[in-house]
Amino acid sequence: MPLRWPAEWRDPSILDSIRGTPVNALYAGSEPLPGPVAERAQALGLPVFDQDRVPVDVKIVDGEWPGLRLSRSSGDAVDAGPTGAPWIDSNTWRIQLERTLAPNKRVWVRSKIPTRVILAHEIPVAIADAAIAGGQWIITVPADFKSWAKLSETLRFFAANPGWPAMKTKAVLGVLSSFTGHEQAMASEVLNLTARMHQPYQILLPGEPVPALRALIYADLKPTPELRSKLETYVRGGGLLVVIDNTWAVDEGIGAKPDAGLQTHPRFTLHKLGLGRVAIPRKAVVDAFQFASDAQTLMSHRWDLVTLWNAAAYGSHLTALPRGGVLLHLVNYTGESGANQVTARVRGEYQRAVLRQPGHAPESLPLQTAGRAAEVYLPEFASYAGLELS
Amino acid sequence: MFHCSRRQLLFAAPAMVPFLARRAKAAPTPVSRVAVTACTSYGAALVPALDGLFDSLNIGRLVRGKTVAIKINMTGSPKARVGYVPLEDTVYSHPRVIGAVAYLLSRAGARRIRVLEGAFDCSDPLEEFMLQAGWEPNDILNAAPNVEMENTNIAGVARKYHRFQTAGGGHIFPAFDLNHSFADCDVFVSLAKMKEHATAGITLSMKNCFGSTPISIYGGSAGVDEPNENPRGGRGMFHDGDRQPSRSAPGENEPATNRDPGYRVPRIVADIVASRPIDLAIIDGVRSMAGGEGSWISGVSPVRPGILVAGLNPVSTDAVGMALMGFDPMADRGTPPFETSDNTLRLAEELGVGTRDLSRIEVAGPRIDQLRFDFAGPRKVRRARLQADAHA
Repeated sequence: MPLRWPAEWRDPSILDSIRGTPVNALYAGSEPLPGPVAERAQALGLPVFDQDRVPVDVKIVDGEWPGLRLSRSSGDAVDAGPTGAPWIDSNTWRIQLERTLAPNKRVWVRSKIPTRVILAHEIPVAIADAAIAGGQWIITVPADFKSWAKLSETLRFFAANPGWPAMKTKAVLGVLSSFTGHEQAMASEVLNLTARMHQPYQILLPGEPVPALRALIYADLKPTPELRSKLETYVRGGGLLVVIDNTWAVDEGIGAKPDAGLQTHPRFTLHKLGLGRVAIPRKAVVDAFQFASDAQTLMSHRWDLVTLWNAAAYGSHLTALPRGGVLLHLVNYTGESGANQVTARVRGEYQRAVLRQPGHAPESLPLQTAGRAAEVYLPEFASYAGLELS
Repeated sequence: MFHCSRRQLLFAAPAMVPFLARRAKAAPTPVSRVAVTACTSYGAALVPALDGLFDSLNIGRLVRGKTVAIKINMTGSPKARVGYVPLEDTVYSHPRVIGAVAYLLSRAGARRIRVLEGAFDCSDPLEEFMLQAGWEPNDILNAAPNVEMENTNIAGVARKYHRFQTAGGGHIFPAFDLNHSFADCDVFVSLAKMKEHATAGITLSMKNCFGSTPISIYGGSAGVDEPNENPRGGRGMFHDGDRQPSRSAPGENEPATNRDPGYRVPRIVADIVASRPIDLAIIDGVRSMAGGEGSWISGVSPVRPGILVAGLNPVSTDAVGMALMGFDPMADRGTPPFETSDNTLRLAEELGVGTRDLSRIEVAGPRIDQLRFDFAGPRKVRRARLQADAHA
């Protein structure tokens, strides 16, 4: 667990604050550590990395400073996103993507340090934001940081659950793209915004088999003939394919035909093919949020695995537990326990709900049945909670 | 609930003549009938309770062989609850009430039933909006034959809007362009929730129709010249008049009038009701919330008034609804619940929509004081506390 060494820290005795925490490496960034600090780190057995030297099994990713985006124009006001909900900067989607592109690498996220004052409660949030997707945030603290106990508590919590990063995302929606070239920006934005809507997804690459998901977003423009054939097979089997290319050639390519009975969507034309459907935008897609939202509606919210109430400032990630059941990761981006009373509804039949959070013993929670889902009323938590349903 | 069969009336009539004659001199003739009943749950008691109300109103005569449109109330985000309490128990019309109304109207002869709402901030199908709220739309769609839904925030399948002229010229808007569904029906039902409202004092069957207006024309992202068929955002222009609707629709009579939301919203609600008349007003007060219309209002809390109300005139129905909430429907600005707004009922009355005078309304069912659920008392306490907090 790497700690970025602030340039202002010249005193090697600060390393004593770190002793006993799960921090086990230092990250120097662009400037080398001051000599006495480097010597003390070596004496303590703490490896030092920098932007040119990282462990061979680690990929460093430049990411956002996670949290609620503060308004530039109005001091401590919070900006609203396209949903009217607070705008959240998160690296979760980025880590998922990097882990898909390089499955044998661990992902470290290096956030650009904001120029404003960093508050202590932002640090556990940033750690959790990366951890829920199986990544490691390069711990970045302000020069006057004192909350080592809280930091340590958060790090210990995730260190005590080493199996979590290996858990598979549980999803009914897939996003397929090469995530390269001109298409990378839109495909990445679709991942980001789909996550914001608490819709878990599998990231798929063109060379891989297409799994039997309920819906698939193809976020690139032109598939190869091989990929087109795979997509056709997927649709014929009953899947919904949502393409981003409004010029998608239905007749000469994938072979789907317009269906007059399905032409009620204001922004998409629907084509039947075998047991499934292809949804093609009527106009060029310019609004990634609307596109991501429409894809879910076209699939139908009936199949949503996760529904959260009063969670506009929260992030989520759903994973499958190895022995059955699911783990719903939740990040509260406000970083503070508040009056928010969040309800989580998770599709599936479960008998037991346990909440895990840093600094607290696991807590069994009552569970209500809501149709084909389980509903749990969550107690307040400051930065992270994991809801285990089995 | 009072029940008086025709036979009982015939037998009693001779003895009642002197009494009725005195009554006729003492009180003006009722011009409207509103039915009320107690109903404490959305379970098995719901359908019989609604059935009793509809019997009192002879609903079959209204809906037999007709297409009925039901404007429900799903104001605000489907993801924002009051605490842990489901939206249907606080903010929204309850889906079981919607289903029960569809069933009973169909049983009374309605040929086709269309459930309508300008669902918050989107043009998604209404079924999808309900799913996001945690509802099962099939429970409503299967409540009766030929039930359909439409999100009226956009033009929808008709691809064009229908213009409704405001009777009397309107306080603010001379006409509204609405989704075709409000024209393609014979009977229009407003199915509201019994709530207070932060801007308009109360929200009952008339205020419910605020959400009939398409955000493609009257929303924050409405097109300047033409409707925006991919709209988002709320109806802020109705509140503060910061802009005019799309030019394709009629603008305000006098764009320079008062921009105060407490002045505008009640008048615009009265205009909407005077442009698309409500044929049947229903108020779901079984479970609701006190202190405002949604979770975004501070200090709100769930309540269980245990009341259902229905009437053929929305002004009269809302007047009875207000009285059941402990408010005086004749109250005006400065008096609860209109501390900072004008009285929508008075403004609708001025447009000739109906009467709010309880002495001219026949209430069928238990007396109002037998059913009254006190919203007014806690409102005074809450407002005093908020004012004290503001001064502290």
